[in-house]
Amino acid sequence: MFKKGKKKMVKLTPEMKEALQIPGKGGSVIYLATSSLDGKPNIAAMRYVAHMKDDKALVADMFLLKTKMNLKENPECSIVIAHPIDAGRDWVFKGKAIDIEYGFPPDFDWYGITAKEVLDEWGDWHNKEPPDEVPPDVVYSHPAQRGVIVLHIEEVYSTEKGKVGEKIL
Amino acid sequence: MGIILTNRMKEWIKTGCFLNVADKNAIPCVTTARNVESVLDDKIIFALSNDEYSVIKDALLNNGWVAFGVMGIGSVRFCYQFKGIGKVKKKGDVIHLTVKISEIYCTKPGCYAGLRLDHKSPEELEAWESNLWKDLPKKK
Repeated sequence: MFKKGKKKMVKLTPEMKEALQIPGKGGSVIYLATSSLDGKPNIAAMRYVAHMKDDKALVADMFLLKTKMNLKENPECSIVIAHPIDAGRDWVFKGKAIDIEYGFPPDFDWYGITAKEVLDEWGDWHNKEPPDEVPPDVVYSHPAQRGVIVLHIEEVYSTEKGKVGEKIL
Repeated sequence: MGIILTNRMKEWIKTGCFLNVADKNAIPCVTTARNVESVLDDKIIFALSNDEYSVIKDALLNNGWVAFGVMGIGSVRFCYQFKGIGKVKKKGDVIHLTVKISEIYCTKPGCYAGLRLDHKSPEELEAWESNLWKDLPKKK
């Protein structure tokens, strides 16, 4: 497991928390951005997104390949709101992520959240929040969830036109 | 054989993208690329504003790899990720980031997730895509 390092504190705003939900609940499609240790970037869109506590974003581990491999060797991660882009949700959430997979010790702690808490609430995401709003030519019939990615958010930056890169939190 | 993006890919990429470049500590740096100057067969020229460029400027000094996906509804409808080496040229106030695409991945959830497509011939790529999707972005 990764050494977590010193904990940085942010507190997501209610608007940010609203954005970090599935699109069908008024949330967003997000891009999950990672990198291999040797610096090859990856960016992939995700629909199963949620927030927990004041500083965590969650994403389902479904169909992940390079994202999963990258997080196994490098916890540095960003989430950016991909859609909708005209709703004032111009944010990049940056921090350290881990893929809490089934089989983690229940008391495994990632910056103040345990594997049990995460998997009990989000371990059966497809049934909890079925992809009813996903277009039929994009949706999939047999989800294969293997865990939940937990991003401990340490910083938030803007993607607003003219203000890209400005630190918000 | 080199990459030739499909017409559908070219049209969706023109709608704007999110770029990811890793810095020297392998930390992902994400920026917007709202303006796409031109889309060639295997190269995209993004016209970045100063603020957009500032996010990835230092990272690009050490690492040319750029990964990108389309912003907005394209993140739902256009299930691809592109990767390539980026090079920056400044012309006055305009910053051109040219990315020569060397890798294309399908990101459609399910059996095609992660499928690498850049090895396909242009005809194969066109046929593969048109079997799944034909929709183009709405004109702005």
